[in-house]
Amino acid sequence: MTKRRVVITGMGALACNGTNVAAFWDALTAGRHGIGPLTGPVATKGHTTTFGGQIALDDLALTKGDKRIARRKDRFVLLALVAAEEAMAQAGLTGKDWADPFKVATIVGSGIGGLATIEAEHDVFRDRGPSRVSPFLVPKMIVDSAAGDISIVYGAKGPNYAITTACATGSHCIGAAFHHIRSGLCDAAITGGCEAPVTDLGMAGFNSIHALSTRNDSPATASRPFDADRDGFVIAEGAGILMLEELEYAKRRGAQILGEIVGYGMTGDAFHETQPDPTGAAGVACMRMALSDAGINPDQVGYINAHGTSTKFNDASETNIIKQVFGDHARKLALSSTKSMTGHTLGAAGAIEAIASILALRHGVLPPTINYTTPDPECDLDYVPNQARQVSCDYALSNNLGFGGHNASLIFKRFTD
Amino acid sequence: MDRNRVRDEVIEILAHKLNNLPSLHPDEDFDYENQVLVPDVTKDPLDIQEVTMDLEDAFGVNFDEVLPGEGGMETIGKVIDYVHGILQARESAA
Repeated sequence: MTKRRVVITGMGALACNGTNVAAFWDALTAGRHGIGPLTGPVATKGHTTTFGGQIALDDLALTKGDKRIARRKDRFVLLALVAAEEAMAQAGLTGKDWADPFKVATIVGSGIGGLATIEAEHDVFRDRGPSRVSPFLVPKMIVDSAAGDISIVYGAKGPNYAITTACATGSHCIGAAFHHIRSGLCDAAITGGCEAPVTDLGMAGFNSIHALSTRNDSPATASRPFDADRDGFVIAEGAGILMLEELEYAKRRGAQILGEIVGYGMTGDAFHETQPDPTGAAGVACMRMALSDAGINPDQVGYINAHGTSTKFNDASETNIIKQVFGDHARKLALSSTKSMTGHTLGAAGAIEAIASILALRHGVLPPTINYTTPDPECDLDYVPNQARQVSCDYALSNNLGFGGHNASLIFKRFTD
Repeated sequence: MDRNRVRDEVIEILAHKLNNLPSLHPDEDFDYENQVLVPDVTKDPLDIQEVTMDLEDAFGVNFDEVLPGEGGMETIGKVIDYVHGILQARESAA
């Protein structure tokens, strides 16, 4: 029996370097980042790192001025709702047009959930007592609220949940949605990830584990994946939402097809809370699982959108596992880290980078790794340094590796009927 | 505090959070007093919980027995009566 094919028919993205897919892609191909000094209350709290990737739209702007929604939703959900609106519009769907709403999944995760809400309501609890804590605390903070809220807006009544796997969240959500459609459980899925981690505890917590870059004198060059002088990741907010459909379902309704998802791998390091396993065994197994799922050979992959966080550990480890999986072909394929321009959006990263990968295949342009100036002997592959490159590929692989040892690899294919 | 002042403050607090309730306007001939909170003004229990806390904060009262919108306090006028009654009793006792 031939496998059901799963295609992408709509995409929505918000990142610090672009608040819709067109602006985001324009920034990626121009090598333009969106990282700068912190703004808002978080800028005044004495954080060790004083910059990040914030989106220049406040909560009210994200809701187009609807104060009620802005008050009731945490920012990570507001970002997801905006991205979902863009993805649905591109797919030509309104939410009232599902053939069977129970076969439409909504699988959207976040690495952390409503951290700003938790912080604000804890202040209320401490200062004014338990009876003053907002009735919106729970619905605003829970990680699954983005999936729930998107389904409410668009009437999607099929499988509905969030996956939380730190920085691999977005990829795991997309992978699960892909499998649900391919298996026949669902016909379509709204899927992706979202994160709003630029808060006091977000900054303080990641600084405490020395995960963040402290290049405070030069935020623009702080996210420098694979460069010898990298000193940590740049925390950022964002959301990416994709509309996935079974190929024949999409064709029947005349949808524009943007790309195809063909492979998914997932493994766990079983090693350490925050450090990757130095042998890379699980990362290798993850990419091999995705290649096997796609039914392709390693040498068919032309582009890898790397996890490439700009931390010492990740970038060397990821380079190592790519070399193990791809052998000689590792030196022929191109890989880049778009986090050099978006910062690290944690639970949104897999979804935002899936969109970058699909656009790279679609347009035959590979986004660069910017701020790459000094080669690192441990990172000796072709990272598409500093300038986008025109290359036509059939397959792209996107990696995400999360704290806790969560690994996810997705493989996308340039769509041909 | 006289009832008109309580009325205006209650309406402002409710209108600030409940989209279906117009803000207080001196020239407007809107029958606030007979508005039924649930379901005319809102159907969402979280909305009710939130404005209840706002009213409690503003007037230093408790809605422990009956929440706005529930039996005996269905209309905005009855919410105003309840708050006004507590404030009056408090003033008399002082």
